Amino acid sequence: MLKVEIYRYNPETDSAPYMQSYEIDTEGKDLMVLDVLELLKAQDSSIASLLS
Amino acid sequence: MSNMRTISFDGIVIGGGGAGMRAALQLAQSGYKTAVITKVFPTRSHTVSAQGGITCAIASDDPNDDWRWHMYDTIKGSDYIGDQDAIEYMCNVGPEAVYELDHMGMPFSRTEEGRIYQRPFGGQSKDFGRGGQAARTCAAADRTGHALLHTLYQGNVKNDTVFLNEWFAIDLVKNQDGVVTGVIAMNIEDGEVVYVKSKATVFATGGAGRIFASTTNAHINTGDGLGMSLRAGFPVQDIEMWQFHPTGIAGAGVLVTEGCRGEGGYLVNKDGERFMERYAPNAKDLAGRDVVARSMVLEILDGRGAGPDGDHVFLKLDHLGEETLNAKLPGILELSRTFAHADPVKELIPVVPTCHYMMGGIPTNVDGQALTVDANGNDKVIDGFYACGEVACVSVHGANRLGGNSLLDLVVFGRASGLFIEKALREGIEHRDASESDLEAATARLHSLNTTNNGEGAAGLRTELQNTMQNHFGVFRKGEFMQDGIKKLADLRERISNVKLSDKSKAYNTARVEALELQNLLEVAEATAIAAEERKESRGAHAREDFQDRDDENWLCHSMYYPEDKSVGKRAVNFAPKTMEAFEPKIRTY
Repeated sequence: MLKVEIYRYNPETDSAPYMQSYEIDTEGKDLMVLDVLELLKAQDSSIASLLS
Repeated sequence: MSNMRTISFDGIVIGGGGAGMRAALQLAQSGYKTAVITKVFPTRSHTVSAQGGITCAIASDDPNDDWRWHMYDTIKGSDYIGDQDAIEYMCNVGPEAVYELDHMGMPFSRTEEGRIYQRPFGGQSKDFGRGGQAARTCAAADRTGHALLHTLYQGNVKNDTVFLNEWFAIDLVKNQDGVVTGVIAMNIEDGEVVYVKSKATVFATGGAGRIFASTTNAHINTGDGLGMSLRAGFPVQDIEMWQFHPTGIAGAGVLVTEGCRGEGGYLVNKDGERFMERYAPNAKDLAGRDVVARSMVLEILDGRGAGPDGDHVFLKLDHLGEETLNAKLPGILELSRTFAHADPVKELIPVVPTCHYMMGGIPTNVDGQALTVDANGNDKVIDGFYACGEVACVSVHGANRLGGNSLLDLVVFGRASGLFIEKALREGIEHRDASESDLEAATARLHSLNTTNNGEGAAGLRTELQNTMQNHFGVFRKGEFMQDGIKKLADLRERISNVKLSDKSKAYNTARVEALELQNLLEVAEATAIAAEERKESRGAHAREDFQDRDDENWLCHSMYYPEDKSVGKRAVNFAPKTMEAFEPKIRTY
């Protein structure tokens, strides 16, 4: 399991940014940060990241 | 939608890659109020990934080089369904467009004498195939697209192009006469939806490689332009033609340039054999990309693939020496070390054919005007609507694109679209404005997405779509298999039209963007599937196990997919270049 800390902020609901922890099973694969973010987004669609 | 803001420009360009920025530059330089709408920061567009170069007969490597030889190679490469008038235009105007880039400051690699460096690429010849391998691809090391894109961005900034960065175009707006009057677009930063109105709407939205599970394309290549165009009822041409690049890094999908083979690298199977000598005795590893990709798959199917699953072959570069690799292919060394954990200076790079480029797209003429076909089978211009670059099908690539021709396509036809629109604006363009109900039609999809609560999530649907395309419409295709795939896509259409958006917030809601992109992917995938099943022959990138030969009697033509009734028609290929006799179809060997 890989532990990921993500910097979160939704200006519509949050008064300040905060860190949120996630755990993800990478199935032993050597993933890039972008791939991990994509997997996390499938779990929690409120995560925003800019692609490319 | 009466509270929706309208902003107006003389010209709008959707997409901030090479084609879009070249078109925008042309308009902005002429003083027209021009906007580029782009879902990522412009220099992050996929053109930035182009490595090897821009093919053009500038006669730097060979002082006797001739653009007609380049034209011959491109027509042969297209397997004879590239339009010869468009290819003639591209190869002839090419040097002018490349020197313009040079003069704008694009940092090309140089020869000892200070001329632009050119390297050999696949499918290149001298003297109409009779004079051996040519070196015609102008390069800025192995980051030519990067250099090109930054040069064009700077040119646009200098000329006051308006950049709507991180704005996502959702759908086309058509007035009651069927004229395109702009797009509905969303500012990703704050979620505001705006009608961007213009006398000329240029699509330069790039490709859609993300319809496949394994692709060299970035996550952003979701076929947004084609999705919008198909939903507006406009046809797409030759959409079954997808290029699989021979050298995607196995497992990662990341591309390593054909320039590796141009510089002397070659492919080997698990036994270390240089197998391309058997499949293409003359051009070997520099045969057309479709030929090399198929040969690799055949090696793998015959049990000569490498790795625990025997599912890839190798690219060998170590014999070129560290000095050459550092000078000519520095980016490749880094990519291979990072993504394949293989150091090309002393190790082999595991590679596999990977979806890379969409030859088909919105049919256009050489001026970038989008076309449809009327009831009598004649070409008909769609007023207000233009396309250039990968999203367009002029068609200069036909059934198979040659390496280095995509960047040339971008700058030549981005420029040509700009020149034509500039002239049309000067002469005056008058359209009826879009009505309230026209705008409602264009925002219907967004409205539906925002109000649906019971569907499936985007991520799972996207994976299913990509696997369906990968398994049923890959390098080799077969009728019954494709028919199965088409059924799966019909089911996916229902589910994807009802995709659920759990997070309805406005600021940087990338889930909303991804749901909209997924619907675009589906449009492209279904068009691809239906056109591929219909073309009952093998030509260029379209290889069928059940129809293994090229059938010039029935299929020496473009396919046209019409979204309204999902039918496939035919459109004649142009065999009338302006300055010479046409090149007649021959058996294609390398």
